[in-house]
Amino acid sequence: MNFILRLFLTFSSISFFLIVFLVQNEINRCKTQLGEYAWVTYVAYVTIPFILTFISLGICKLLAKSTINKVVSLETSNNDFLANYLAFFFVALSVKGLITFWVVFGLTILFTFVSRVSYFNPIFLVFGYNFYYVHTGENVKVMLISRKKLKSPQTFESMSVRRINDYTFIEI
Amino acid sequence: MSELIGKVKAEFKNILNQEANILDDFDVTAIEAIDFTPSHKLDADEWFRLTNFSEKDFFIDQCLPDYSTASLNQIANNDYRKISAIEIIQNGQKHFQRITPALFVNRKTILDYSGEPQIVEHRNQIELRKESDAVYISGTDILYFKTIGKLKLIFPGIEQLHREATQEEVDAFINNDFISLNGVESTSIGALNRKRIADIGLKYSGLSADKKTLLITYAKQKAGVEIENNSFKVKSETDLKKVLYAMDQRFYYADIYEENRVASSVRVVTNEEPL
Repeated sequence: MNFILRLFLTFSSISFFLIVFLVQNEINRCKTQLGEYAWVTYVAYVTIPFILTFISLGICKLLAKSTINKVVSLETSNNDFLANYLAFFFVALSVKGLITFWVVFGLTILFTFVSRVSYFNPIFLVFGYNFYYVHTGENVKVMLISRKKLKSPQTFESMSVRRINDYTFIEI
Repeated sequence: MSELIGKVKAEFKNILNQEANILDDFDVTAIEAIDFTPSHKLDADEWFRLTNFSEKDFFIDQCLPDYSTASLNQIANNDYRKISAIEIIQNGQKHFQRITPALFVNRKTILDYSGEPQIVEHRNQIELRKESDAVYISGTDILYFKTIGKLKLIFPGIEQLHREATQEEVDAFINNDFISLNGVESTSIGALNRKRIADIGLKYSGLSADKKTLLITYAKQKAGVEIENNSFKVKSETDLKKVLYAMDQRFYYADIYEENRVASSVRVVTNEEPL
């Protein structure tokens, strides 16, 4: 069960890869019917990752809970991830052919799924979530996704978080 | 909010987290807490207590008041068989329970009559006991427990509070001129007597020479062990126990009842307690 949840989270976090590919190659089955309104399809494509992310936030509510009661250090990591993520875009733009696409997409899903920095989803940023690296009171470094504006360990308040994996937690 | 974590080998792992309490809270007012004394045997409503627990060498991070379970890895299904202890964190209390093989419930078929009768298959479960082996309360920094032996795995090093005498200490004790072993080997003395030697032998060696003489004279009158050549003829573990009890002044005469008695459990009481 957990496995499927996480696979879905991974998929939604890199679904832009798929969208960029579809747009880049002008894959549009309804092009002839829609005529000059063909752009509507692309708008629909772009909303897919948002819908997937919205669903995956709901899914996160099913994950097991843990607590973070104290942190000794925290730093935001929004920007670090965006660079990685943009790399996906360029790869998607340069992929030619459906087979290459599925191979690269499959590998990206696999590596994102098994990596500890997985599940970074820039659409979380759009929904108002921030990404933080925190060291807990026991000096364990974990990634925390939270809507709160966290500034300093002194003002950090105990929170109940959902465990995405052993290194990634989300506060919902 | 209550949390459950488990010790798998040397590592604590996260198990679950729920709103409702997992166990009843430990009610400090319903028990009598006694500062840990190895020579005392607890009654059912008594618990030993260790104050300033956070300053002890065997204090563990998992007792910290603001411990984050996010620091722990999530337990995997094949880890459960290896759980040696669990900790329950709820309402500022930390309950510890040793998990022994008997607590694993495997493949029991049970007739459940709580509603419509039905057959329930119990598979792969661990029983949590109502009474924990130890409870730590962060607010007062006190650890409550009943037996040290069960806590060795949870708080490594706590056994030093009630350790067995080493072979050198046993030999040193046996070499006192008031003891002569007869049929008992110093290397084969049992764990209980080794603990008594560690405890009472240490008390004895702290006495002045005059008091030592007085104590041995007292012990020879009271112990009920055969005396030969002015020393105890220790023929068994029981004899050794009697000698040690006598050296702890556990034999006394209750003058009103006119009975000679031995105290199997002793602890120091202060005069503040009403007599």
